Amino acid sequence: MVSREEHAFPTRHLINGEAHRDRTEVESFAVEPRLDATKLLRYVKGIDEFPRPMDPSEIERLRDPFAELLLKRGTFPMSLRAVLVAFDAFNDDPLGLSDQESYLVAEGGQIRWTPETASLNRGFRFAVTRERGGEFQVLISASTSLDSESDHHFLQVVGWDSDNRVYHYYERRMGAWIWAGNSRHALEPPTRGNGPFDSHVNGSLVMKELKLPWTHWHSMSASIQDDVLAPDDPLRTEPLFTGKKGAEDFEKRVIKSGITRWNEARLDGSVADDGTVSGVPLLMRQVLETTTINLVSSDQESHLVQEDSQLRLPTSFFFDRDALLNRIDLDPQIDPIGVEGRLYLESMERYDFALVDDWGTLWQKGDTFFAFLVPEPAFEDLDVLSQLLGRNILTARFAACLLMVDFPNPVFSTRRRHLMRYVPDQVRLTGEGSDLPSAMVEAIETADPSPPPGSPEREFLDNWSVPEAEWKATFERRIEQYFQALAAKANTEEGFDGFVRLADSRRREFRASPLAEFGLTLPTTNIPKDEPFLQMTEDGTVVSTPRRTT
Amino acid sequence: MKLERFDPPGFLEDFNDEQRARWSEIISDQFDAGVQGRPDEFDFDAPREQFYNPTQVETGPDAQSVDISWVGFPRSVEVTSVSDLQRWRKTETSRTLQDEYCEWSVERDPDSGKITRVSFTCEGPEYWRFLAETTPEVALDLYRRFVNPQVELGDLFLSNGQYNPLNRWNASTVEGAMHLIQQSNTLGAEIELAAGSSVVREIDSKVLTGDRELIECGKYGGVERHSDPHIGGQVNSLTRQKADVTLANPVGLYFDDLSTADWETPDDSDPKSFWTYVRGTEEKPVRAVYEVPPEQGFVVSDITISGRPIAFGAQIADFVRIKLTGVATRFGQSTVAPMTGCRRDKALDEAASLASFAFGSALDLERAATR
Repeated sequence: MVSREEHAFPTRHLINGEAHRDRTEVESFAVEPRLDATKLLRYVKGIDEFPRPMDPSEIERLRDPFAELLLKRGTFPMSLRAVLVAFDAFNDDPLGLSDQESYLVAEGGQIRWTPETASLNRGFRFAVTRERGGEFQVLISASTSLDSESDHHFLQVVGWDSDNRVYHYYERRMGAWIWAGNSRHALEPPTRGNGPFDSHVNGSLVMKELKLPWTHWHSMSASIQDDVLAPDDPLRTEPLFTGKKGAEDFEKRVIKSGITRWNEARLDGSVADDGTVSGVPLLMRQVLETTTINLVSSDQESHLVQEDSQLRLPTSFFFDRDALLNRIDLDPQIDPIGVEGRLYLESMERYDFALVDDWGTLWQKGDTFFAFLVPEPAFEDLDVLSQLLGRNILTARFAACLLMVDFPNPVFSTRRRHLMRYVPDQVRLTGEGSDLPSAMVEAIETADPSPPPGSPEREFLDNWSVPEAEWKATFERRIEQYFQALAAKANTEEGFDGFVRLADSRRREFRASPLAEFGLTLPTTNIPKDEPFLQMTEDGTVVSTPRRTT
Repeated sequence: MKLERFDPPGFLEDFNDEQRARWSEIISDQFDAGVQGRPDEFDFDAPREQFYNPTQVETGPDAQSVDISWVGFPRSVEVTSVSDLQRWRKTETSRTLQDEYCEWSVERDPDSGKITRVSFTCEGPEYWRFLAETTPEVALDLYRRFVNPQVELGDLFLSNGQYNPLNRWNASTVEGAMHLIQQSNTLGAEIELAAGSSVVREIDSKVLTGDRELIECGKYGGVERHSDPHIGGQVNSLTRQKADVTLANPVGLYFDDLSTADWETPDDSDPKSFWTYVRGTEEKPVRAVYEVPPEQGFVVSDITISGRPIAFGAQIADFVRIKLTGVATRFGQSTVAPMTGCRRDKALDEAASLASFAFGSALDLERAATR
């Protein structure tokens, strides 16, 4: 039997950038290589070949509280508890971060402890924030082995540097603290996608299951209670566990505002005094591409679905409602799509839904705790859209015309991504907005004055040709017609089967990303992993995706 | 030790000594009713032997207080809406939709339509019925202070002399909110919720632990709310530790906090500084107002949340947390056996009742190597 504390939990290491999957490697407590624990090292993957001591000028540029209060003063706490104690020492200091909150996530957090499930690695990890009033300053992400100094139990810190307006990323690794880069390293090669930025894709904070019901997180929708712990597990009385707050607080107070804080800094840096906006493709890829995702599910628990009940599916499975409705303010008269419980239960049987860990052990038949967990557009992409709209770099109409291209596919749309080739490197703010819309329209029309029917260019130009006074009503009507088609499909066996296969397809695309760390995050099915990816059409039918090209 | 008496919610000081004594009796009776349940009407409803009336039964030295909190915006509206605009708009059509023990009323500038003040309440209707019917002049004075100076005594009472909780100044989302009126938002519901959820249930040899499976089986509250399943789940997690539970004195619903992360004011002043508790103590507030002082030169609708101006009180409710405080004692000492059925109306037969509560195959843990 393997206890919680014995479970290895390396997650995304900043140094090699690869999550360990080999059980013998991660759970054999072999002698770990050690680095110099008395120095702050740096290893910015893509730039640095090896971890090396930071020189004084580099250290001086770190202005986040983790560096200012601890690292620059030669304090290198090597466990989660030691980090918190080290911060506590400054609680009476004006610079100290005396306010602390803890949050808990665990993919196996709803699987009760029994002797039979004792060996399950539930994937417990804490997120702990430190601040002094106002916004959080330091976010510590760690395994629940509070006193461990071993690489088998990860310990990472994200600190907000208000001088440079970036997050700094640190990890304790091989007995030393290593600076792995700052938010700006996420944006461009050679560091984009490397180290911490394989999952902090745009340099910001990550909480995959960001929205109600916050699947996998302790929240007001589903508590992670102490009966998922062994009877003698010391975590039962650990204040970080007993005093943990709900994910609903983490979402609003920490993650969303933390993402906005960084995006504001980015946008401020992109707009020059003369109104020139530079680095436009880096911004627009977060409008037209799926740079990363969040996961969203039904608000209903899968094991409580009955044959005669209705299961509400997440609306953002069907279109980017956050962008089109909550930011652009389209207001179609539609309702959430519901399906008969019978169809959902039959699909779980047909496709052999199960929760399987990283080592292939099946722990539970059926879906995740909350039903129908699927990728949705990421808040960090949505927030960039909001800021582009707020600064008049994009108009609502132009953004809607772009996002209504292939709108039934809110994530992984190759058709919208295709339009990236028409995004200029820089644009200028004008009195009424920016010249981005005219530049893109001109580029598309120049490339082919009459793009073929069915092409992304044609679809965009058709959208753009809708008169100013009519675009909202026109797009709302399209969404209403789409939802009428979806509602009709949803309660037919064939129609809902398409939804289930599409959900599986999107999960498979997500699983290919570094953000997919844990087997138990998503359900497995018997659908072959090499099945073609699928897409939704505007008539509610699911079809195969044409071969992916950019 | 035993609690001497139940204090008024939020330690409010509206009562005279006689009212205080009577109020304690009223709450004590509610606790006794909670302990007894309704065994004449329902099977598997009672006894609730791990729930106790703290004025009748000692609270042990090992007692722990547990704050249980949730978001004030109604989940039932959120999960049936497709957009923020839709859910904000819907919630402000009627107080009957504001079912998370948090109700609010919005005042707007008649010319601009901008919001000037949002008043939030979590005061139970029982308190107000008792107050108004025993000291009408006190109730009138409070209505005039907190809702509108134009309130007349006749506005508050029915022709038969009974207090009307749904009076003009407390019935809508625009003319005032003195106390809770949504039918499930009562102190009685809070006590019954704590009592009913204290029952540990073991169905088909499995102890129920999930918030929603517990409430679907115990039927002690509204399953589509944030509050009831969460409260019940937390209470039940304490009784599963073989503790006895009760509610902390004074029994009530309270504001926990307002988070203003990502809120922005026109002059960069602290948006939280405009959130004021106006009734109850600092620890136990029962009424809150969000309003910008005139000297600031802007109004509530000039403040943005995530870049969007506040056009609905509901946008604020998204960030309001409500709480109650439970107390658990005698950990590990309870010898009460789990109940082996789900609460059901005696008029229904057993098979029909059990069929209404499904235990999916997902509850069956299996362990088998698949590769």
